[in-house]
Amino acid sequence: MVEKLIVTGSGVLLIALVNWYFFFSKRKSA
Amino acid sequence: MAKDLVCGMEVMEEDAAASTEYKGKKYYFCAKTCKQKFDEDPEKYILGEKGTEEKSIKREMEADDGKDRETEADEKGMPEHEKSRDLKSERIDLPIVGMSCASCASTIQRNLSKIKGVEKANVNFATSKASVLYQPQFVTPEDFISSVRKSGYEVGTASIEIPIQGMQCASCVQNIEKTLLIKKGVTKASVNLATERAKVEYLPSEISLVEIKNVIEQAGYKVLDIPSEEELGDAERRTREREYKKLRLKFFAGLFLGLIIFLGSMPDLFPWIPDFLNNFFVLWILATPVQFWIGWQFYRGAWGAFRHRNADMNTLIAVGTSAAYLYSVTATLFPSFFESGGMKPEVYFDTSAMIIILILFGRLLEARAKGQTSEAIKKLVGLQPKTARVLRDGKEADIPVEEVLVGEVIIVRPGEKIPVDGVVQEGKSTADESMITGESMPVRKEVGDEVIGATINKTGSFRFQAKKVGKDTALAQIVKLVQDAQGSKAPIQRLADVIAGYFVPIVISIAIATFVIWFNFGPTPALTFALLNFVAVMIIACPCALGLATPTAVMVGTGKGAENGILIKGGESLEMAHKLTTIVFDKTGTLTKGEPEVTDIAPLNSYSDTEILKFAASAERSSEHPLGEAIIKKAEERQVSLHDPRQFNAVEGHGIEAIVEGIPVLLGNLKFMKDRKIEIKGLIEKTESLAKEGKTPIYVAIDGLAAGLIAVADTLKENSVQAVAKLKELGLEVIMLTGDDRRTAEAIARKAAIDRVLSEVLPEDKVLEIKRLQSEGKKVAMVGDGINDAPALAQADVGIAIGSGTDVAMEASDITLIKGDLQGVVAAIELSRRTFRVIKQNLFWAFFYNTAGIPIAAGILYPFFGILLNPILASAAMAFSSVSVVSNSLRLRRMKLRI
Repeated sequence: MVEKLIVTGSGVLLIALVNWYFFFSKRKSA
Repeated sequence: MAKDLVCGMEVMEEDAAASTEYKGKKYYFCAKTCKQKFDEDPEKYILGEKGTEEKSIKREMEADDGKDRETEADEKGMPEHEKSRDLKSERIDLPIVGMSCASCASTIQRNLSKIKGVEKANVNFATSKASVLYQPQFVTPEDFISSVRKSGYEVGTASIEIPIQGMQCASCVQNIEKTLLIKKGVTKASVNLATERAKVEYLPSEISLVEIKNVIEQAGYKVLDIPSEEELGDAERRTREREYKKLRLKFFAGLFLGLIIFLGSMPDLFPWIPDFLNNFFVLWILATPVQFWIGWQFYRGAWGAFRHRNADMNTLIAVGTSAAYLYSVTATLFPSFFESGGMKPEVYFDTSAMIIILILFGRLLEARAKGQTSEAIKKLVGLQPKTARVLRDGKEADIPVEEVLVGEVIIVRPGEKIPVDGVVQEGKSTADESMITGESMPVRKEVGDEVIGATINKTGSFRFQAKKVGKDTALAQIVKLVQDAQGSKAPIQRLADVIAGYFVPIVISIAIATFVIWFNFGPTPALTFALLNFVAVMIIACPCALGLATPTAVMVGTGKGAENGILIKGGESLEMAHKLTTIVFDKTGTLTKGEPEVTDIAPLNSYSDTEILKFAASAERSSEHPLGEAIIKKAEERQVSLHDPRQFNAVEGHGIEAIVEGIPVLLGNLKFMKDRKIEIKGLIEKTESLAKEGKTPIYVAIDGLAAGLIAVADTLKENSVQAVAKLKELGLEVIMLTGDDRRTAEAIARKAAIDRVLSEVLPEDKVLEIKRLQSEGKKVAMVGDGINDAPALAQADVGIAIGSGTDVAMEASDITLIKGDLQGVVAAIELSRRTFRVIKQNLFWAFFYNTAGIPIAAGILYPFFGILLNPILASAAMAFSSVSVVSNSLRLRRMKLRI
């Protein structure tokens, strides 16, 4: 059960992180 | 508050940096430089707040003395300056092309000022520059350029094509374009994955080539050098060949290792494999070079994209295969960890290795196919002869064609290629110009005729003077045009690029969600299922087919056109051409031959056709009038022997008189005959019927009596009727546009089977007519033959210039038909339609692969049918999708154009 919770939590966090990084964080200027 | 008349700024009298008195009035300035300018020519500033001039001075001043002034401004606390600094305003200078007066400048300025985010716009007519102070967070220089263009002017940008290495998919394209466009001074960046080139339009005053190169390299790609044009082709080809060979080596090395790993990973299927190959550690050792040497390019690409907050297909492959690899390494090193959890440790080295190899295989095929798409250019460049035989100091010398100078005399022998463009000075011959014009019949060349470089001299020797060499030759221009077109992007491609940009992060999210769902709800072993499906989703979703769908088709389409004498300016023109509803033909020189021809001879009294021709043509021998030339041509055709006229006299606007074989001959219009009291009663009926057909009658009187008449008219080109019929068959409305009177126009239109005629249109009103048709909601193509049609060609949705490909017409048009044949219009439209059908098919397949593949890879079919997509199969499907898209585009090469 704990494993499942950890995996789910990390998954959600990762998805959030990916979307934040690529879509919402301020784009570095080259 | 006073106004600084030089720069137009509001200045507090007490805080002004300088002041001066002129004609008893005191003037205040924001800076000393403004005062200096004012003192040099006070009247200019007092009389005219005429806008442009003063503002340019301000700009010059800012440029000359910007720092000083800023400091001064700081101290004086000028509100405008303060405000702009707070909001981090930026300034950009745009060179403007096409302004002919100061009011042009104010039009541009007014339009620029209207744009939101523009604080101040100054346009200087004298220096042809616009200077815009703007807030970059609201507006970009691209908006200014489009505003200038909308105002009817051009921005003098420079453009360069940069060969780039290391792009793998549509997302790379997006990545490079975005990074370039952020840079100030880059006005347009269009990256083509298929040609591996970036076409950058930039303002040389704002950014240098070296800077552009650096930007691309910082984004994680390699810029092949930007040398001179000639070197460009060679160096590029060599590097690409080297790269291709390296890719091939990697692929075969990978295939060897991958097969061993594959066999070793399946002891149940291949029991004859030696036992040691089943060992996890051995598999690990074999898989590592595949992962990090052969697959290194995916990591490099993924990292480059990641640093710029982009994700592309490299990201998907790198993350997907790394997941499989790292899981396997953990299982190899710590099997007890899995055993303690009740799971059997398993490795997936074969999965990661096979994915990398299959994708590499796809790229290898892709690289080969991409080479084929640019074959048209190679063919064109290959036409250029290497040497020329020039006459220098009275001696013949063979020199490289690049060294030929304008004005030099070149000798060409039968069977040789004509090295550059020029005019024949001595000798005669025929030339096969089919490679440039598509015209298969050899063309006669005599003294004074133009010859085109790269065409083949057939029968005789001749000498000609070089008129155009190097980049100015017709061939060089064509190559440039085709290259530009192939590097350009069809608007539909933008959509694909945008989608690709969003696609990858979303795919990563779906893949993570897949992992979580399988881990939580999947059957045992849950971790294995979760991992395999995660990898499968990542791999199947690579959007590389999406990135290749449009550019490959545009390349093959434009290349195919060029081979047939149809030069299409770019993807945009190609896309628009398939949406056309209406084709407008200019009459003279386009539908018709543009030169009058004798159509009828009506003799009177006892004269025969030949006699009338003999007298008329002989009398016209001294005339230079085009109608006279038409009569002489007809006489020559019929091999009528002519005599030299005596006492030739041309009566302007009426006709001519001369004595032929001692007999007085008169040729002219009705008025001329009446003036000379010639009775033409017997010809009235004939005259009327000719006029109905749009023909011009020329009366002939011999020895004081009417002898008959010769009718002259501009006749249709051979293929006009078929072309019009074919266009109608394609469902297009055909309209004729002409300055001729209605009767003549309708007569010609009837012959060409054109239903709608716009006659008596002045040259300058042609544009209005096109606009009017467009306002009826039609997508209009204008077909015209040159300079006088240029504005209408530019106004039309697609301008098709026909004929010699004069520079002006080529500039203004979207499509140039080198051969003067109207069938080319049909062919161009058919080509566009076919190309777009291919693009749509490509996009459909690319989207289909990705969107249908993802849910299957995620295991959506598993609960119902027990179907799961193996990651290895996913990678094979992915590679296949790219290859099928490129192959589909290559089908266009086999298309037969009816010309």
